[in-house]
Amino acid sequence: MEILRVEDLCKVYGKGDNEVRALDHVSFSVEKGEFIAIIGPSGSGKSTLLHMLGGVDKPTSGHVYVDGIDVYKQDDEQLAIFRRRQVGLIYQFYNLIPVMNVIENMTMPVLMDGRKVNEEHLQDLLSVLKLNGREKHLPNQLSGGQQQRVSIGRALMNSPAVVLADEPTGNLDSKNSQEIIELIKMSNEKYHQTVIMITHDEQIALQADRVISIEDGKIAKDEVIRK
Amino acid sequence: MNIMQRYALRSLKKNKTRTVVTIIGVILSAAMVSAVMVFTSSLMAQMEQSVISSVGDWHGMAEDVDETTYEAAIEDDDVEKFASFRNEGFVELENPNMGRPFAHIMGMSDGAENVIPIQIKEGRMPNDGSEIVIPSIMNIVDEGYFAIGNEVTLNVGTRYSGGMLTRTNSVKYYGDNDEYDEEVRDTSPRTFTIVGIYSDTGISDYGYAGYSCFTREDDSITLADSSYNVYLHFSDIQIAKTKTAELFEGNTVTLNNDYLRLHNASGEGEFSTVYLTVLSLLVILIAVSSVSLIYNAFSISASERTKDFGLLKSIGATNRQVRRSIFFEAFAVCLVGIPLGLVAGVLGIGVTLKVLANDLSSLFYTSMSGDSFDVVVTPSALLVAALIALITVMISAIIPAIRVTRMTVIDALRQAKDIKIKSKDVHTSKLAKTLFGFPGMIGAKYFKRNKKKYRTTVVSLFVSIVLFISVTSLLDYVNTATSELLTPPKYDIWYSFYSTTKEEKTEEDRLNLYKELSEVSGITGHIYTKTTAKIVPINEDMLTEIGAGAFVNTNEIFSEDCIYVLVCYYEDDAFVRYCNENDIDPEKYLEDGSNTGLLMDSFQYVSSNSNQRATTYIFDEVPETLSFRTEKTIEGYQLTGRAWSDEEQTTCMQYTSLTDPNDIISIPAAEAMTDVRTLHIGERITTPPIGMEEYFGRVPTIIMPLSQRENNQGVILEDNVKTYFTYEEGANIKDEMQKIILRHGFNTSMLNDVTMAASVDRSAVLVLRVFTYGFIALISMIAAANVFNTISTNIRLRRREFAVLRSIGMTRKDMRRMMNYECLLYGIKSISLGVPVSILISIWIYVSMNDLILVGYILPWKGIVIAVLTVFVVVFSTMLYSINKINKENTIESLRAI
Repeated sequence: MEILRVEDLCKVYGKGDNEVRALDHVSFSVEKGEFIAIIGPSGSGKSTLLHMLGGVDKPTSGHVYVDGIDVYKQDDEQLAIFRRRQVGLIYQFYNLIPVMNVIENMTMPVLMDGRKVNEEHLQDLLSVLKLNGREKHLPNQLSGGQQQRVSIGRALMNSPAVVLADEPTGNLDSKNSQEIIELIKMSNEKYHQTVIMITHDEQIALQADRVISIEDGKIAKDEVIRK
Repeated sequence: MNIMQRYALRSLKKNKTRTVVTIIGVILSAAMVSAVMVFTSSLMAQMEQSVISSVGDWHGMAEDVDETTYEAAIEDDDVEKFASFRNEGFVELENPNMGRPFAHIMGMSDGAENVIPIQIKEGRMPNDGSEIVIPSIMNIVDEGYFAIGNEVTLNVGTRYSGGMLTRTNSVKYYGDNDEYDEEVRDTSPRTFTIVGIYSDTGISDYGYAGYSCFTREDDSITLADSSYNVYLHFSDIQIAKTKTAELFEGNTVTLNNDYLRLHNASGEGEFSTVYLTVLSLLVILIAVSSVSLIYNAFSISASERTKDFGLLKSIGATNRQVRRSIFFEAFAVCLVGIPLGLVAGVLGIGVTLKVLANDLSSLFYTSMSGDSFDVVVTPSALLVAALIALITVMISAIIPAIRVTRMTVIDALRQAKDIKIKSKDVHTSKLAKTLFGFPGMIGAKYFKRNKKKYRTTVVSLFVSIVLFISVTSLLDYVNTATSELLTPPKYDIWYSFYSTTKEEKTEEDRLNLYKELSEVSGITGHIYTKTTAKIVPINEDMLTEIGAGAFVNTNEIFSEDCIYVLVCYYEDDAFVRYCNENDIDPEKYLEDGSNTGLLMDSFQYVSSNSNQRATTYIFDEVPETLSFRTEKTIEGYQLTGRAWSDEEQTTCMQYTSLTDPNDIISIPAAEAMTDVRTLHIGERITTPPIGMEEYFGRVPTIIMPLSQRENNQGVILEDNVKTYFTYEEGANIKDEMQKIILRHGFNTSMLNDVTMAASVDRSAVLVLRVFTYGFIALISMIAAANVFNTISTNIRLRRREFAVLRSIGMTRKDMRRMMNYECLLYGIKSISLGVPVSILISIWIYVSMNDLILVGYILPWKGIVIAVLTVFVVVFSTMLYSINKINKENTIESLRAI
């Protein structure tokens, strides 16, 4: 089942001689449950693409459909709710709220929705992410790896349509990096989560099911690694 | 509490210093607004109490109202309460020292004293028509007869003034003589027991024919032609004016405008317009100052958390949720700050008013309540203050909230600040590098990059500087204007003899009174003077240009130039004391027949060139002698008057025979004023003797010993006999002196306690100074808090920058130089804007007040110096505090700081 479709997506910065095409007529689709790695050199447009998919940055032209909804036909309020419910974002620098503890950071999307937290799901995530015993800790009391795990927990809390990870291991050592990748793979396998991950590391990319290469804002290659 | 509210509270807790400073700002704002509200409500209450104490809370009244109209009026549905005084009649007072010929008996309705104040000094109010309350003057003059407990039988009748039936006391007494007839007819005896003596009443009868005496209206006593003075108080004060006119149509109506004005019901010059304007200005001033501080705090808070807000939005927070989070922060700050502020404000103004109670109460008539100024705290005043503070804080939060929500998610995440660097902005002054080296250049570049941030600080400092210097300038002029008031003359009381009895008072009468006054317990000094104005023929060359311009007149009778000179005969002992104090030998002045006096001819005028006060002399050189014309002596006659004669078409002097009062000679002035007297001038004096302050600088005066008066005065038509007294501090002299004066049959209207009056003026100035400086201090505290907030946050936000600079080798000394340069920039920018604007405002104040206060422009240099020093102290100490904190941090930690 198709969960995500990108049609002719463009993002242009500047004008005339200063024009920069970060994305240039990108089109592809993603099936539910796929684990996709997007790879490319620095400045190729990977992060820009990810931000477009997550409703964080508006394209210059083109469409993004998530679960059948044209993301950018929505108003600001609907877009915010879309980000809350349909997308889970994992950043390179964790981006946790410094004044909220682990549980609060993880449950934020649910609480913003005004819903009650599913305690069972939360405890399950805490256990899987090995965060038991650190529920009340603030981000500055956690290591880098632990903070990234909280970020993953936050992304998975609402069981979104798509999890988008922007260089999730970019700020971690190799041991932690591998742990995080394992967790992301686990979320894909256990929760059938659709995951799109940006990385510049080919080794990490090859752990995904499908690799899309981007160069100069265009898709250079779209390769299925395993079915 | 939802997650966004929790986030807002945690953010407040995280940045304790900024949160505390913001709360302090809210406290100050709420405190000042509540203090202004409480002071206003207390002042209004005091003013109302003052009016009620002196006049009463009636709305409208009419005199001489007939019974039918009276009964209709008091039964009207709109009348809440009333006081009526039936005109019972007049009594002729036989004691010549009474001052007035009549007592006016009024029968008051039950409860009338609740509408018209009657201040009982001794005893009580009357219960029925057989009891009476009298004014204290009747008791003082004749305490044997008019005393409490005495039964008096008074012949009460109808007054006829000029042959006309006159029921009211307000028709003046013109005297009973050949030309005008005043009498009380159809009298019948009424016996009263005196049960009370009053000292004051709301029924003003100053200048009336009779003293008001009050009994109760007795229904068993019917009067032919009853007439009433009726005072009405309506349930709705707004209808007072029209309703009074309606109920008393055909009668002369008087409104209690002093009371009505306080309630915006007089229809003219409403007090509320004035006080609401002043109140609004004060509140706006407070709000503007507070908004600048609190807005700054929220703006910084929002800027610091731009990335957080971007993140929240990226995980699904709507713009409304983000906005509400900021407003919730504002609300939380209000929850803590406003109650504390209200308490601080009420306590602060309460303590201030209690400390100033004596000074404030002296400005109001509060005979009923004594020396107090009650603090009135109304729930509505507090509620309004709380609302204003809340609105101020919410307004401060609006712009930061809107700014955050307008930012796109991606910009917020990237923390893309509005750094718009054009090539010209990168260049900085070479002077910065020359004076402060590389650190100075870095500091200058930072300024260029962050104009918005430093602008808030500079604006805040600018507002405080302007406010402080402007008010200092205003107070300089107020102080100058009141300097005369604040330095009263060297005497405490003066009394000018004025007889009100039918018989003329003699010199012996005056001296007897003077002697008794001098012996009042507490009197420490006394001076007796007699002053007359003399016409002195003059040659203009003898005078200075200013003196000639001001004083030379033409004597029409003798067709010659002349000036008026006062000759003051000064009690000998006091004259000698003055001479001794001023190294003058008194001998030649006291010598019999010397006719020598001291010349006091300093003259204060307003220069037409500079429009300022200046001083000169009237005489160019001190003349050796001055001669004046006086009336000739006619044996067997005494000079008794001066009058215009239609027959002679000139002023004539009247001489009356010593043996036959009907034998009067009238001689034209030109023929009568042939006696010329010469006075010798001993020397010029430049400081006035005690009592002569009122003439000093205004009119040429010759001062001579009193004992010399008979030798050279010539015939005297009239003297201004004036006495001066000093008393021990705290002594209550005036009441005692009034009693003595009345008993001697003199009038007390010319008894003036200048020390008491000056004390009231000093109180007014003190109150003005306390409130003005207090207000300025609080506004300045808000500004200082604002500056602290901005500078300390700016520095904290640059932790990483400073860490980078330290890591590449910048020493602490260099860091301090960089910060010193920034401090100088803050200070110089705010001062270079603030001081010129303040000077312009002070010039405007000078121009506005110049007609009232004739002094030159006063540069408020003291205010400027204090403002400049304070600005640098606040800025440098804030920088020092913040930098010291940052210097203690680990460089690596700072580099990693998020």
